[in-house]
Amino acid sequence: MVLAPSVAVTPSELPPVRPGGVCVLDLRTLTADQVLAVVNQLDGLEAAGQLVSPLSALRG
Amino acid sequence: MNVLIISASMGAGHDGAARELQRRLRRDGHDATVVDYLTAFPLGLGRVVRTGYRWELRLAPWTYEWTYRLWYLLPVMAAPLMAVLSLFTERKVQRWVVETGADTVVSTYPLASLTIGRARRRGRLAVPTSTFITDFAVHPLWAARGVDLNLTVHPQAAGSVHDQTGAPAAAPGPMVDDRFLALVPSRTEARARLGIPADARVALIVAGSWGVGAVRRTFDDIVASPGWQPLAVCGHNKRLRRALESRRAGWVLGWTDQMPALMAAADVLVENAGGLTCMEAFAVGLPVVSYRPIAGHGRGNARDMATAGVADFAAPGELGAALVRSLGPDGARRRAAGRAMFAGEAAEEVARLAGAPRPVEAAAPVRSRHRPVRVALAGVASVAIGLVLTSVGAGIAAAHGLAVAHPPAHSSTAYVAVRLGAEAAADARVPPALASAHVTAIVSGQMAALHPVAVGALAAAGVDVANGGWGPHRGLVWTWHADVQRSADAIRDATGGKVRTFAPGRSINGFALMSAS
Repeated sequence: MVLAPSVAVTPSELPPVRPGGVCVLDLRTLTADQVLAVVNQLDGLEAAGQLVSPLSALRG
Repeated sequence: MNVLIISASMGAGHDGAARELQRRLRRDGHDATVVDYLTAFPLGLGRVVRTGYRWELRLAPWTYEWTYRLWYLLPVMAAPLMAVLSLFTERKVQRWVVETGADTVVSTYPLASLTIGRARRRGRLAVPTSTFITDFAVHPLWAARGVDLNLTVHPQAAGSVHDQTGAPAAAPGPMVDDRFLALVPSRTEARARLGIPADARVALIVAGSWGVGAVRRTFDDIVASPGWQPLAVCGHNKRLRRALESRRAGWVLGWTDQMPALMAAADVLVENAGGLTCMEAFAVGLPVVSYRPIAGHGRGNARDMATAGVADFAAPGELGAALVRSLGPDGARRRAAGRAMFAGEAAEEVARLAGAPRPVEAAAPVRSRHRPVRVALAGVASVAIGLVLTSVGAGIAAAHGLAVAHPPAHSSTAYVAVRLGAEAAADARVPPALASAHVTAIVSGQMAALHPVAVGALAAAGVDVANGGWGPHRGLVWTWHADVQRSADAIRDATGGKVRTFAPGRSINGFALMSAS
């Protein structure tokens, strides 16, 4: 089980993604293009050196 | 030597082990008395407990699964339960000890073990006590502190109860009637007696004396397995018997005392509880397959028997393959491992314990003139404690990371997930983008049910898919589990794999922990 508050996301602004933290982005109201824009921003973070992993990598 | 054996009329398993222990003790020259723990409750509450348990298994097995898991998550709740049980039943248990002149007390029922263990620890029971654990899986309620000796059906279970209690444990093996050990008729004789053709492939289905569980589906699955025919024993469940007889396939029986002959005639046993009948099959040397087990101890036993290598555990849809496997080398190995369980003699262990030193002396029972008030207060207190621990206590535990996944200490990684809408999930560009970004997609059960292709595409692209619950939940807190399970099933159906991460969008309590565990 993963507990983390969901953060509503606007297409233009990605909320802070902190090292050692769990970030759940609520994209349910966004279109596919807007979701891809958010994912591109996450890719940008990774390109800048921030490691990103899925929730399954968390310790149970 | 006088032995008091406390069983419970909850199905036939506890009573079966108790009666067999009684028979063996008497054979060895001892006096043994079997009593029903449920009769120790005042005001007929024992009957209420039994009836409630029976209907719970039939109508709402998920609630039994909750309570079964709850003890693993919050073993601290055992203390208040023990206190309440003792308040209701300990006086009667002590009276039984006096009336029978017992030199030792054996329990074959977990709640009775909690009661005698507590009495022993508090110096209110002078004679040594033991528990004969009839289940393969040792649930925390079986592991009663204060009990002097734990006897189990398998060394794996003995190790488990010793780890949980620190008390001595031994594995004398299952307690089954001699009819299953030495007096089993030949296959030819048994089939002739039952009218079963010599060349038929027969799977014997059992579901306990109450005939509970998904027996109809198991029956149908066997009928659908090429070359196999079911031989079903429905116990006292007349409705089940009528339902199976209407299928006009195989053989269907009600309650019977001809189990040795039925086992001799069958090629394999298909069971759902890991109960006494399962142990009898081990004695006969009949291969055992656990299938569609009942909630709680049924699943636990099926898992632990498979781990111990004495039974196969088939997933839904895989019964046919398991039946074939049972006739080959795998089945032979498991049969040998099952028969090897009958290595000891529980009656001798009990007799030895009765002659052991008694370090704890009994204190005189204290009589209260305010018993009805105490009973009422205990009832209210137990409900309150249960609710508080299940909600607030579990929430605190969850907040501190217990049973909840969390980042490793000093991690430099960010763990990211997105909750997706159906429209975005259905876009072919999204799944590969999420997979490339190492981001989890949290989907609801509703989305998986309505858009299985889109959700399946996420998994197919390598995206980590998490269960976000069914959707907005407006029901009662205890119906939430059904939503979680329903969403897990829908996502599994869409992705073809089990979803291991549950990411709720709500506050957490004991019900949530149990749902997700």
